[in-house]
This record gives sequence, C-alpha cells and structure tokens, in this order.
Amino acid sequence: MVLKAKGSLEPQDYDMLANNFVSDAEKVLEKSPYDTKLGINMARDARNVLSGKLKIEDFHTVYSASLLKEFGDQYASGPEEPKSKKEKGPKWGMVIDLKKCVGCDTCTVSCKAENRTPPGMSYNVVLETLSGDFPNISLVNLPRPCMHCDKPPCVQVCPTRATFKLENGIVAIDNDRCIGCRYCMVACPYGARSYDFGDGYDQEMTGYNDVTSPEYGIERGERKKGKIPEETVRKCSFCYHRLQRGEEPACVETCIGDARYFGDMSDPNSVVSKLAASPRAFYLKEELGTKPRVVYLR
Amino acid sequence: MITKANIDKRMLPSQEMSRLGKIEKIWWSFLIVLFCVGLYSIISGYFLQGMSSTYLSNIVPWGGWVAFYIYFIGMSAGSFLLSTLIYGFGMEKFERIGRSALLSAIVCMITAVTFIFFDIGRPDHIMNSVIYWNVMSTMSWEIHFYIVYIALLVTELYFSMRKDLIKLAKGDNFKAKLYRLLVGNKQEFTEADHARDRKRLKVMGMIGIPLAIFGVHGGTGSIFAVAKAQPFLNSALFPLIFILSALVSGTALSIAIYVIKCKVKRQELDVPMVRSLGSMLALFLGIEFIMVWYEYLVGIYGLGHEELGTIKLLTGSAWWWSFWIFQMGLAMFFPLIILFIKKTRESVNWILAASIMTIIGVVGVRFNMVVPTLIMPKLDGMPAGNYYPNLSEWLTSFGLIAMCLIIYTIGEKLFPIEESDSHENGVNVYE
Amino acid sequence: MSKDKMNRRGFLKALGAFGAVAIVGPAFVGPVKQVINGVWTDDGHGIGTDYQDYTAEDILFTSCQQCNASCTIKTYIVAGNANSPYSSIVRKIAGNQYSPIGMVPFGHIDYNTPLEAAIKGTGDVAKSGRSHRGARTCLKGQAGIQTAYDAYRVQKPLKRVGERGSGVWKSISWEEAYKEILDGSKDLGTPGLKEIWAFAPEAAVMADWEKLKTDKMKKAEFDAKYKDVLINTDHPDFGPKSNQIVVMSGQHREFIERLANGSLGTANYYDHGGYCGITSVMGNVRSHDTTKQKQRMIPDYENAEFVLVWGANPLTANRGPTTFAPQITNAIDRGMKMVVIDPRFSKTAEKAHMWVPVKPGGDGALALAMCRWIIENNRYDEQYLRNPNGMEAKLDDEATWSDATYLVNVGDKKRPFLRARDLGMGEEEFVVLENGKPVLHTNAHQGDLEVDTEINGIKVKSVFTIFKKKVMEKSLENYAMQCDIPVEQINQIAKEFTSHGKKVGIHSYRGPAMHTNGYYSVRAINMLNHLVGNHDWKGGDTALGAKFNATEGRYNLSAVPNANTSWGIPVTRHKVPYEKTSLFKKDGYPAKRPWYPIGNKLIHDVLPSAAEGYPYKIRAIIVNRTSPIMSGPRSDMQLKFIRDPKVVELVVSSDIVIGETTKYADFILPDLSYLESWNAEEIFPILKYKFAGLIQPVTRIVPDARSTEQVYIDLLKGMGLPGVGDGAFKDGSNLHCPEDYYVRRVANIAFDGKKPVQDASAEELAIFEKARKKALGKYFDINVLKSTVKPEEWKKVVYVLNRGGRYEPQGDEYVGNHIKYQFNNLVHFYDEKVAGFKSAYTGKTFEGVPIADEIRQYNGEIYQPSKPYQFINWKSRNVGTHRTESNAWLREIRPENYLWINPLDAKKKGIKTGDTVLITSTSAKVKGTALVTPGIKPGVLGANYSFGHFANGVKDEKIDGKIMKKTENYGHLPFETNVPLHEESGYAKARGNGFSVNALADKDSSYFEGFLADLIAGGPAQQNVYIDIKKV
Ligand SMILES: Nc1nc2c(c(=O)[nH]1)N[C@H]1C(S)=C(S)[C@@H](COP(=O)(O)OP(=O)(O)OC[C@H]3O[C@@H](n4cnc5c(=O)[nH]c(N)nc54)[C@H](O)[C@@H]3O)O[C@H]1N2
Ligand SMILES: Nc1nc2c(c(=O)[nH]1)N[C@H]1C(S)=C(S)[C@@H](COP(=O)(O)OP(=O)(O)OC[C@H]3O[C@@H](n4cnc5c(=O)[nH]c(N)nc54)[C@H](O)[C@@H]3O)O[C@H]1N2
Ligand code: SF4
Ligand code: SF4
Ligand code: SF4
Ligand code: SF4
Ligand code: SF4
Ligand SMILES: [Mo]
Repeated sequence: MVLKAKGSLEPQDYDMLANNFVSDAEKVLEKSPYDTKLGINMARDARNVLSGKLKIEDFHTVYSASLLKEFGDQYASGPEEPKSKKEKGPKWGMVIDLKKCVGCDTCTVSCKAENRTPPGMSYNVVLETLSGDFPNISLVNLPRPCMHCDKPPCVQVCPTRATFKLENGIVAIDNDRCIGCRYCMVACPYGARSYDFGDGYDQEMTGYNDVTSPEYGIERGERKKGKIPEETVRKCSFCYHRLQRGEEPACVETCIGDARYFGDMSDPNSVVSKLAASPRAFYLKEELGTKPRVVYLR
Repeated sequence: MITKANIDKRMLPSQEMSRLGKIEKIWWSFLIVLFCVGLYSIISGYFLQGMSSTYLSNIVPWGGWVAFYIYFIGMSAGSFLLSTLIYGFGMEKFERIGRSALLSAIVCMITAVTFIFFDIGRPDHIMNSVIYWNVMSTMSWEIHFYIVYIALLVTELYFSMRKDLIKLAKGDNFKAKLYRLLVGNKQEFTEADHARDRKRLKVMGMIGIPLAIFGVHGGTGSIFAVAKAQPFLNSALFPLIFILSALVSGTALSIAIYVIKCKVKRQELDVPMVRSLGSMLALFLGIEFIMVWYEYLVGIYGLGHEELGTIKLLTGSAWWWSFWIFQMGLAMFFPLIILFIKKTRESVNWILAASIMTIIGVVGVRFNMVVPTLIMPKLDGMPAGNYYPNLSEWLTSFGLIAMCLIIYTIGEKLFPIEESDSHENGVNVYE
Repeated sequence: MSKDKMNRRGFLKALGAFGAVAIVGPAFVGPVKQVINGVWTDDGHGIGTDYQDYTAEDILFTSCQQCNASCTIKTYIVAGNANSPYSSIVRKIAGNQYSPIGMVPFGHIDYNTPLEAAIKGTGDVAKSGRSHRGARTCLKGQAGIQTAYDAYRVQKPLKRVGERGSGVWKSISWEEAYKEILDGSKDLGTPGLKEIWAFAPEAAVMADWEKLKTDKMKKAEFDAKYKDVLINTDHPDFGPKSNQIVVMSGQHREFIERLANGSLGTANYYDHGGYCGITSVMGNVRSHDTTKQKQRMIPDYENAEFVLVWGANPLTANRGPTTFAPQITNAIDRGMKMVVIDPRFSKTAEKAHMWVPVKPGGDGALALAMCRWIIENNRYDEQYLRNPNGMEAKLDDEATWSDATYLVNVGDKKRPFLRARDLGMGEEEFVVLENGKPVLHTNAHQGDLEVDTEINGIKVKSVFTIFKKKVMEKSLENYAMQCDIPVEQINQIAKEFTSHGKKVGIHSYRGPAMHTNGYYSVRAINMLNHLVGNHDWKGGDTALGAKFNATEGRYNLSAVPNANTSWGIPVTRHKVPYEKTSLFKKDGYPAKRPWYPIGNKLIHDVLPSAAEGYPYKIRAIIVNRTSPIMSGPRSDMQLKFIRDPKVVELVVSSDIVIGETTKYADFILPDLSYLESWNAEEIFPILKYKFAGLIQPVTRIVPDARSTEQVYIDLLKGMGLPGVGDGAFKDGSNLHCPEDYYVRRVANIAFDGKKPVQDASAEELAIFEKARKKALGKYFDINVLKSTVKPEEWKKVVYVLNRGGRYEPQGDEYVGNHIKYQFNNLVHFYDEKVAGFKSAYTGKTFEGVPIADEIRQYNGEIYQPSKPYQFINWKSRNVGTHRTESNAWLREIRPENYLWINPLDAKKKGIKTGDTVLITSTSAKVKGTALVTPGIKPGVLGANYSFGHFANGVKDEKIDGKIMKKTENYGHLPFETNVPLHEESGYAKARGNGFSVNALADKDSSYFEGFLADLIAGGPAQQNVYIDIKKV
C-alpha cells in the first residue's frame, strides 16, 4: 500500500511512516502469517544496512536461509550487485513509437547530414511494409538505427575488439583498429553496419570532403582517399559526439513524427524509461537475445 | 593403362626429359602469366581502388574471395586429415601421398590466408588481428589457430621428409646446401631417428587432429555457423558439413594431385590406393549428403522465412546453376554416382574425373555458403542484395590460385615430396 | 641429441623471426583481461574528446527554402577549407528553437532567452531526452546544404551561344550582362529592356480614352499620343508597353512584386501561385468575407476530436510536415480521429482511421452528399446559421456568422445579394427575413433560414434555400456514383463529422482543387465547416495568420514614391471579367481564350497566350526560381514557346543552376542560394502565435553570384525607374542593395506590437558580429547593415536577427473556447461575384453556391478523355517541388517517381512492380517505373510530380568551351538492388530519373494550345490527366 502511494509522498513522510512502523512493528507483524521475530530482526538490520553499519551482502547471507524457509520460492532476489564506479553515468537508449512514425525518412537524412556519411551508407533507414488489399490496407514504417545491443553479435565476432561496448551502452567502433573484415556486418542481425568504400559526394557537393563528423569524439578533419575511416566499418553511434556535447542525436532532435525518444534507460524517471515500460514496447528480433537498446512501441 | 605406362617407360630417358621439360615450361608460363595478371588486378583494383574494385556491398559484404578462402581452408583440411591417416593412424597404404598431402595442406592454408588478406579492407591494420584477441570471436580464434596450425604443418612436413633430406643433403648443388641447412648438418639417419620421427609425426598428427577439426576447419565453419543473423547458416550441423565437405575436397585434391602427377610423369600408379581413396571420397560424400539433407530438411521444415527465402535464392534465383550444377551436381551426385557404379569406381580415370568434379563443384558449394544467405534481406522491407564476382575479383582469384600452384610446384621441386623408396615398393607390391 | 635440441630451438627462433611468436605473446594477455573485465565492454580505445561543439558564435538563424513552407532554421557554421571559394561551410541544419514551427509539441523557448543560453541548450538529454539546442526540420530541410553547395551552381553571368537551349554558354561580366539586357544584344538579336519599356499612368490614358469614346478626342490624336506607350491604341485597356515585360518570380516575391507593380509598372507580375494553389485559395477566399482573406482550411489539431484531411498531405507536404506531422501524430495519440479523403493511400492516409478513396474530381459530389445528409438529418447548427451578424453570433459564443439567412435577388440575371438599397431600407447592408419581415442584417437577431418569396416585386430566396435546393438536386446515390464512395460510408463520415460539436475541422488543399471543377469542389468542402460553424473554435477550423508587420511601421517599404503604378489587362486575363473589356466589344462570345475573373497570377498561361498574341504579345520575361516548363501544364508546349524568339524576344533568368526553364534563357544571372541571401518568404497561417520569420545570409558559396533583388535594383536603376536607388522609399531613403530593404524590414518587425523587442545586450552584439564574420568572411560588412537603420533601432534589429525572427511567447493561444487569432467575420455559402460572372466562351453565368460539376473544357462541354485511366499526382515525400533535384541525400531516399497502379489494373495490363511502362497522354509519351500497390483506387494511376528533370546536371552543358559533365550514378555496383518502396542501398542515382508529370497534361482543344484549367479561377487542372499505359 505504502509503496503504491510513493509518488505522492515527501521524504519526511517516509520518515514518519517508518517511525510508525517501528513502534507498532510487533503488532503489525503478529497479524501476518509470517515469523514475527524474523521480521523484527530484519527490520533492524535493514536499518543497519541503510545506515551503512551492515553490508548488504551480509544481510542477505544472514537472512536468505530463513527467508527461503519462510517465503519459499517467493523469495527470489539475491544480493544486489554492488554498483561499480563505472556504472554511474547514463545508459543511453532510444524509443521509437511506430504509431507516431510517419515514415518520412527525416531521421535518415538528418543522420547523413550530421555524420556526413558517404554514398551507400545510411546509419538509419526506414523500412516500409505494406499489407492488405484495396481499400483496407496498412503500412508499417520501421525506422532502424543501430540497436546498440547489450549483447551485440557484432562485438561478439569482431576479431580485433575494434567494435565494443562502452559503459554508457553505446556500441562503438575503433576505426583505427578495425581491419575491415566485415564479419560484424555479416553478424549484425539488423543490417545496421556499413563498410566505408571510400566514396564521396564530390561530384555534386562543393566542400563535401572538407569537413567530417567527429565520430566517437575523434576529429579526423578532411576526408581523403585511404584515410581512416575509409575501408573500415561504420554505423550509427547514437551520435556519441552530440551526446557528449549535451545534445540529443540528430535523428531524435528532428524526427517530425515526434516518434523518437532518447535518454537514460538507467534512470527510471526518464522519459525513455517510462515509455520503455509501456505494454506496447517490443524489440526487434527479440528471440535472438541481442538485447537491443532501441525499444519500439507498437 | 599399365601397358601404356610400360610403353612410355620404353621411351628414351632423354626424350622423356625433354617432354617433361616442355610440359613444365608450359605449366610455368601458364602459371606465371596467370599470376602476373592477378598481380596486376590486385594492384590496380585492391590497392588503388580498395574494396570498391569488387562488387561487394553493404548488403553482401562477403563474396568471391571469402568463398575461395574457405574453399582453400577446406582443401587444406581434407589434405591434412588424409595425412593424419598416415602419420597419426599409420595407414601406410596411403603413405605415398602423405607428404604431398601435407604440402598441399600448407599451400592451401597459405592461399586461403592470402585470399582473406586481400579481402580485408585495411591490410595496414592486419597485425591488429593478431595483437588484439577477442575471446568471443570465432574469427579471432581462427586467426590464432591458423598461425599455430601452419607452424604445425610445416614442422610435420619437415619431420616427414627428414630422412630424405638427410639422404639428399650430400652434394654440392643448391638443394643439398638448403637441405644441409635444414637438417642442421645431420649426417646419419638412424633407425632410432626414424622411430623417433615416426613418433613425433604421430604425436603431431594426433595434436593436429583436434586442432584441425575444432580449431581450423570446424572453426572456420563456425565463423559462419555462429552468425545468428544468418538463420540459414546458423545451425550446429553447419561446421560438421564444413568439415565433411573439407574432407571431400581434400581427398579429391589428393587423388587428383597424385593421379595427375603420375600421369604427367608417366609413373606407375598405385591403383589400389587410388581406389581406396576413391571409396573414401564416396564415403565422405555420402555422409555429407546425409548431413546436407537434414540441414535442408530442418531448415525447410522450420518455415522460417529467411531460411526458405535463402533456399529459394539458392535453388531458384538467377544463380540456380551454382546450386544445381556445381553444388548438387559436380560436388555431390555426379561423383557419388561415379563412385557407386562398379565399373566407374574401379577406373582410375573415372575416379580422377570424380575428384576433379568435386574440386570444381566445391567452389560452388563455398559460394553458396557465402553469397545467397547474404543476399537475403536481414529485415523485412530492406532490399535484397545482389552479387557476383567482377572481372577484377576473378583475375585476382585466378592470380592467387596460380600463386597456390606455383608454391606447390616449387615445393614439389624443392623438396623430396615424393617418397623415393615407397614408389618402387608400391609398384613392386602391385606387380 | 644435443644438436637436435639446438635445431629445434633454431627452428623456433626462425619462427620467432617470422613474427608469429613475438606477436602471439602479447595477444594472450588481451583475452585474459577481457574475461576479467567483461567480455562486451572495452576500455574505450578509439574514443576521443573532440565533439565539434559550438557556441552562439557558430550559429546563425534563417529560414528553409527547400519547399514553400519556409520553416525557421538554425545553421551551424564551420570554417571548412580556408583555400576554397566559399566563406564557410554550413555543417548542419536544424530547426530554430526560438520559433514555434519546429518545436511542436514542446513549444518554443522563451524569446528573451539569451542567445548563448539558447544555443547551449538545457543539457537535459538524459532525463527528458531533449536539449532544445535545436528544433525540427523535415528531411528536405536537413538536406538543404546540398542545394546551396551544389557543384552545378552557375558561377558567372552566362550568355547563350547559338540557339536558345543549345546548351552552349559564354561567361560574361555582370556589367556586360546588364548592358546587353538593358540595351539589347547585337549578336543574340535580343532587344533591350529600355527599348521595350514604355509607360503612361492609367488615369491619363483612361481620361483620354473617355474623351475618345465621347469623341472629344480624335483616334489619330490618341494614337499619335500613345502609339509608343500603349501596347495597342485600339485597346487601351491592355495597358502600357511596360506590360510586355513579364516578371515571373518564385521567391523574393515581396521585394520584386513591389518593383513590378510600382517601378517597372507591369501588370504581368507572376509568381508560382498560379500553378500552386490558386484554385484552392480562391475557393476558400470566396467562401469567406473577402475583407479578410482566408486562404486555407486547416483544423486546430491540438484540440480537434475529428478531422477530415481532404486532398492534402500534411504529413509530408503542405505547410509543412515540420509543424503538422508532430501535431497530427500527437493528436492521434491523444485520441483524435482522422479520415483521409484521397484517391491514393498517402502517408497521411496511413495514419488515418479511415481512408476514403474518392474518385478524382468527385470531391464536390462527396462534400455535397455529406451536406445533403447533414441537412436532411438536421445535423447542422441551426442556431449558428440563423445568426445574421457578429453581435448575435457573440451572444452564442460564436466568433463567426454566415450568410445563410441573407436574401438573394434571384430575379436579377446576376443574382446578387438583396441590398438594403434595393428595398429602400438603407445602403449596402444585406437583408434577412426575421419572422417573415425584411430586416437589415445588422439589425436582425435571428434570420429565417428558408425563404423563397417576393419582396416589393423582387423575387428573393435565402442563401440557405438556394444552397439546400442545389444540394437536393442530386440524390445521395447520384452523388455516390459521381464520387465513387458508397452511400453508407458517406453517411457515416457525415454523421461522424457532425458528432463532435465544434471540435471538428477540415484540412484541405490541392487535391480537390486542381480540377476544372476545383473552385466548386473547394467551396463545397467549405460548406461543411459552415454547416457546423466550427470557425475559430478551439479544436475547430482556423484562420490564424497573425504576423508582425514587416513592411510598415518604422519604414514604409511597400510604397514607391513617384510610382509607375501598373495597370492594364494581364496577358493571362486574370481578375478581369471579359465583358468589361474592349475585346469583348470587338469579339463577343466566344472569346479566343478563357478569362478568369477571380484568377490571379496564372503563370502557366503566359507562354501560350503570348504565342497566340491574345490579348497581346509579350516581349521579355525575367524569371527567377520558378519553371513554367516543369511546373506548368504541357511542358513541351511551354518549352516550344519559350525557346521561340518570336513568342518572347528576351528571356533573362536569375537562377542558381541551369534549370529546365533557365536552359532556354538568353542570359543567366547567377543567383545566391537561400543560405546566402536575404529574403522574406514566410510560412503561411498555420501557427497560433504572432510570427515573423526571416531569411538572412549565413554563408557565401559562389563569390560572383548576385541575388535577384540586386539584379532588379541594378537593372531598374539602369532604366532610371523609381523605387530603387536614391530616394527609393517614401521617407527618402535609398535602395542600393538588398540590405537596404531587409534590415529595415527587420526594424519594422522589431518595433511592431505593443512593445518593441529588447535591445541586444553587449554580449549579443559581439556575438552578432563574430558569428557573421566567421560565416561570411569578407562578404560581411557590419556598417552596411548598421547604416540602413537608425542608431536607436540597431540593437533591436540585432536582437531579431540573432533569433532568426520574432515569435510571440506561448501561453495565450486561446481566448476562452476560441483561438486567439480569429477570422471573426462573415462566412459565405453564396459567392455573389461568381454568380454574376459569365463564361467567356458560352456567356452563361456560373453558380453562386457550390455544385458537383463535371470535368469540363473551356467551351463548357464535358471533357471526353481519349485515354482510359485517370491520372493524379502529388508532392513527392522526399523532394521539394522541382528545386531539390541536386540533393543526392534526397534522391537516395527515393530516386524517381513511380507510377502507382492498383493490382487489378496491373493484372489487366500484365505489369509488375519495377516494370518499365510507357505512359501515353494526349500531350506526351513518357516512360516510368511501375509500383503495383493497393494504395490507389482502381482505374486511377498516379505519381508524384517532382521528377523527370532534363537539365541541371542531367545533360552536359558547355561553358566557355569547357564541358560541365552531367552527374553520374553513385556507387561501384553495376546492378541495382533498390526496388520500388525498398530503396535502402543508400546510393543515389544520377539526376534526371523518373518522368515529368506536367509533360502529360491534357490538351483543351477548344482554344489555341489550350490545357484543362478551372473555369473560374484558372488554376491548371493538374489532376484531370488521362493516360494509357503499356508494359515495355
Ligand atoms: N515534400 C514536399 N512538401 C511540399 C512540397 C513538395 O514539393 N514536396 N511542395 C509544397 C507546396 S509548393 C505546396 S503548394 C504544398 C501542397 O501540399 P498539398 O496540397 O498537401 O499536397 P499535394 O501533394 O499537392 O496534394 C495533396 C493530395 O491530393 C491528392 N489528390 C489528387 N487528386 C485528388 C482528388 O481528386 N481528390 C482528392 N480528395 N485528393 C486528390 C493527392 O493524392 C495528394 O495526396 O506542399 C508543400 N510541401
Ligand atoms: N502536375 C503538377 N504540377 C504542379 C504541381 C503538382 O502538384 N502537380 N504543383 C504546383 C505547385 S504547388 C507549385 S508551388 C509549383 C512549383 O514549381 P516552381 O514554381 O516551378 O518551383 P520549383 O520547382 O521549386 O523551382 C523551379 C526552378 O527554380 C530554379 N531555382 C531553384 N533554386 C533557386 C534559387 O535559389 N534561386 C533562383 N533564382 N532559382 C532557383 C531551378 O531552376 C528550379 O528548377 O509547381 C506546380 N505544378
Ligand atoms: S544492431 Fe548490429 S551493429 Fe548495432 S549493436 Fe546490434 S549487432 Fe551491433
Ligand atoms: S570489420 Fe572491423 S569492426 Fe567489423 S569485425 Fe572486422 S575488425 Fe571488427
Ligand atoms: S543516433 Fe545519430 S548516428 Fe544514430 S541514426 Fe540517429 S542520427 Fe544517425
Ligand atoms: S523522422 Fe521520425 S517519423 Fe520520420 S521516419 Fe524517422 S522515426 Fe519516423
Ligand atoms: S517543410 Fe519545407 S520549409 Fe520546412 S523544413 Fe521542410 S523543406 Fe524546409
Ligand atoms: Mo505550391
């Protein structure tokens, strides 16, 4: 009950509630079908954990046997993993609402403009699938950036660890290390990777080669034949450089269907976390176990 | 045949020498021209234009060179496993092809690695693949296995030849000097040495088996099989099929090398050996067929649309012939039939034909492993790919194949690949 | 033994030297580390800290011109290569966060946010997902730099060599170009503008003409006086010779129109409006009181419960997706229902709750069928309709009222409204019957809706009665047949439309309009809004359009002192009733060509009219950013005439590239692209905020280019005409460069309203200068800008320029249940003017209330197409009109216009998706690629209209002997993996794919080189195209 009303309570309310709870603990617990003493001890030690006098692991070691006895398999959660320092930052994730996506390909073009990717390379595409017969037809527009999988097959297969996962959830590519074997492209179930064949738009675009995008925070200056990242593999970076400068990805900023959302998936109060919790949420090729960080809403 | 061989034998040695010299000249000029053309295309294509000299794309990132890479890996596997029958399991009846099998295994490995070297976009980064090791990456393991494996093959070949090397080290010509260098001035090859080398070979052969099966060949198969993005390849049977078809092509290669060599040199053929190699080939083909059958059965039965789509692409697209003629015809049914019918399975010529068919057909098998599954869109709504090797890719491939043959021929010329004594023994036994 | 060991060691050593061991060694450390540290993540090698971040000094705000929506944008500028001709590179375009256009649904940031803070953003990406460092634009907006940095841009003024269209050019200096344009070119044989131009003020000529008519002046005398001035002294109403200089202007319209009307004094000023939405605009305007033009039908998406999207495509086109798309998706999310009426399954239809595949041109029938159901079932808002005036409306909390109760004098042939004057009751007031008695509409409380009677011997009917009678003339089944929508479905839509009170709206634009019956159909659709009286209601129909005054205030920028005020009959005979002309007196009915009494700027009829010399010949065309060849009906015909020196002697084009029309010019003057120039194109009323966007230069790419404004200034100065140069404006100030106009314009904007904008702070002033120096380099001179305005204005000007415009804060968009910016006026069921107009062919009058008309030719006959399929067309999702062909990024999205075919028709013709089909119309044969889709009505074929280019990088051009090679396909692959609808390979094809829709436009053989057009407004009937197809 108390937990459900959480949203409306202030911190001091919690304190009061806690005090009430403690003073009447025995009575309250007596009414429950479970062991009273265990409850009281646990409450005490729980407070010790909170105040840092007791380690959470120890708490679990002490009680898990009794809890198992008392609650059987309902007691499932083990000791929480201690949070390492590394995990403090945001864990980026994207939500794409297919109901709102209008299939305009603005994301695709904005990504090209932001990342100045060469011809033949689109980090993001929008896949159209039409079904039905006249006049009862429907069309699904499926935008597809890189999923930034938590268990990315591309990372799994890369022989050089040129592609790997950052702590913030982004699957990055070290183009200086990549040997251009393209195994990752074969392994990515989403077709999200492209090979830089070294093409350019120079025939039509004055100055195309003069500026490149600082992907993964590396400013490579002029694009030249044979210079990295040519002949290596590239893909959507979640606009790493934009995130680092406090800007949402280009495709999210400009999505005209207001269908793309971005943010910290590790913050339960972020817009994306809330959307990702929707019953409409699903993942592409979920069965492959790649654990994408791009969530779709159906 | 025997008569023919006998007639040939009656030729004057000098005549014989000049005939061989002529053949050799033709052979060499052919190889060198092919190699030079390949080299030109490598420079003008790969080095000057990079990967855009190929018809590879983002949809089909792997193509002809990868197919040839696994083709040669497979051949190497087959040859090597054949050699282990001799050195590991002491099946002496195949002894006369042992070294040549080892040599071809090495050369095929070198060729395979060269193919893949030209398939990576950043040859200047190549060392990264050795320096950095991703424990999860099958390819990473492969790269390291290949190194160890090649080292093992070379050592094994060395010990298998040591007796002859020592024997032939006496003299003043270039070869003798080279051999002296290799054997470290060892003068005598004692029985004890022989026994020890035998043992060494056996040990190496035994180490080699898991290395070859799990490490190199099954491993190479796994490079494809683990890609869950490619449902058609993503099956546990796949690496096994890879090994089997490796055995098939390796055996076929050994047969072909042996028979052709004998024919060119007009040497006596160890017909029973060829026949039993032939039946071995049939056996491998048979097992492979069973595996492929179940692979497809399960694939089709699953009704997964990617798999069905890929099978449709394989069997019904513009490249149907690659599947039906090369994979199913040349690399499976024709040789199976040849090796099944009594009359043909006993004929060396037919066995040779079956072997050559297989060797050619397996090229198709390798293409079919790589290309159609990549053409199939990974997500609904994505365009299907298209791919066929362009001229530059073909020329490069031919150049590298020429390179392979050149190295092999040099190997044959330079080292005592033919066992000097067993040859006569073989003939004697037969006669 | 020992030797053996050594050998082995030696062997290993050899291996070591070989490299293997040395490398394998360290390689074993990595895996161990990896297993310990987690297999997926790595230490971030290959990750740097250079984010190409920017500050306010790297940002300039301006507006997009990739389509005609003119969204406000933010440009991020970087230096690029110091040795290149450009001054900087526009690194990235995004929306302007100060402006409401791209900030739906968040709302724009506070206008007074300091620039630095706005550019820095909120930094709240983690939680809210938004930093608001920028806003939205559509895909075309994102690709804009490819228009500006197009390698095919014209670099120097060009003069043709050989025939028009030869594709051979010679570059000349600006001075030479001006000289030859003004004084004529001997080698080309073109006349100079000075020679062509002559002017006399209307009043003087008309006075003399009156004298002539009344014999107070001799014809010879008149002739002698005016023969060098008037086009035709027999027809003085054609106006002065200056009318023979035709101005066609696709942009900089505010600026150029002022000069055309006041300086050059030509009645032949045209913009793209004629072939854009003229019929729709007039259908809307004529459905509302015209003292306040209401040109669009757009619902208040933020609060509507039910919306009909009728022949418009707001999710990809319209004005523009940047604003509408997020409005609509969020509205649907909130529960709004949407029905899309369109013969094809548009991107908007995809999101709709119901798609109604109406028969093209059947929109009037569908709308009137709905009206019929609504009237028969008493679902209209009677209370609303009975209000005769604003006061009464107000009592019902209505902001508008209608003419439903007004009486019409049906006895008069012209069927005008009955005026108070007619009954001797007053002056111009309308009359209504209240309880059977005639009352001035201003005095009445509740008018009688249905009246059919006689007052003082005058036969009168109430507007509602006339309308009802017309609506009831056809049965529902009849209407249903005409629009090919089942009666039940019509009833259902009508019922739904009348089930949400005032929270319903209609979004309609070109679909129902671009037919010969377009005016009527648009009117019919407007009637639905009138019947429920949803105007100005929260969630209802909107008028909006509040703007900061830009041309008046501090500076009067519109007036031309000592103006040559244009007058006379435009060559396309728009806005002129035939019966009032001297030609009518001469020719009577039928007139040689149609006259369009409510038409305007009918640019598409200039060339054929000129070719026929009806009403007169023209001599020169000056054109910028519009292309009659690509955009007007019957491209081949347009082309034939523009290349003919007998039809037009001088063609001058200001263009950034050698476009299809420009290709046939005598002189090409390199224009500045939208990112390099000043401009005043603005989004039209779709926003609930008072608004002023602006366009200012943010970079310079072509050093030698000059904006079209500069060209006009220089040429008119050369001709010694007013409105430019010294004393160009009313206050005596000068106009020597575009800045003289546009900076003052900004001053007007800054000072408009109750309170002017704030002064730019010292920091902002510094940022202003630094940012522009970085972006424009030597092309920026702050003194040029500063000197145009008064010192006390400067800081405010900077404040507005820094923010790319002026935008009212969000918060008070509504007043009670109404939208703040209202139409707040009379709406019309009855168009009195049109009721009095006659067809110039038959002399028969048109209808005052909408009808469900057929497709007709100029001669009034129902058009009998000779081809079996109706062909419709629309705006490409990924391309803006014909002006973004240079954008490879957009061509990657979809490289051409596919011909949509329903599977039923495709089967009949044996056509599959991807097949090449031969498309034949009465005008042309073209080839297209088929897309077989259930998303189009059987019997109807269609395509977007933005492809089929044949110039601008599609063909080689020769300049100064050097070939400018055409573009090539991208990528290294010889085969095509893209198939229709699945074009994700990311490779663009060369320019020039697809087919030209306007090449197909049908002929109207009832007049010379005719084409089908709306009979009243004159807009081309772009949707009345009929074709046959064949697989090739
Ligand atoms: N992407 C993009 N956006 C643009 C432009 C562009 O070129 N590209 N151009 C801009 C300009 S200049 C304008 S004027 C606006 C125009 O904006 P809209 O008027 O919204 O767009 P259109 O595509 O001209 O026509 C709208 C729809 O009418 C449908 N239609 C065709 N015939 C009929 C018919 O007989 N009845 C009905 N009910 N529907 C029919 C078409 O299928 C199409 O979906 O768009 C602007 N925005
Ligand atoms: N069949 C059919 N016809 C149509 C339509 C339709 O839907 N169907 N739509 C109509 C509509 S709504 C409109 S608005 C018109 C639009 O058509 P137009 O008014 O013709 O406009 P654009 O196609 O944008 O531009 C025409 C030319 O301007 C030149 N140009 C491009 N950029 C610049 C520049 O920056 N400066 C200068 N000086 N020149 C430039 C190029 O040569 C380009 O080809 O087409 C109309 N025609
Ligand atoms: S979507 Fe593909 S490229 Fe992206 S992380 Fe997953 S597997 Fe890797
Ligand atoms: S192409 Fe580069 S990133 Fe991809 S697997 Fe190979 S080395 Fe790794
Ligand atoms: S997040 Fe950035 S890189 Fe990824 S698709 Fe969007 S714009 Fe492209
Ligand atoms: S920009 Fe947004 S609405 Fe448009 S296709 Fe991409 S995700 Fe969909
Ligand atoms: S809608 Fe038009 S003006 Fe707005 S961003 Fe898109 S192309 Fe530019
Ligand atoms: Mo338009």
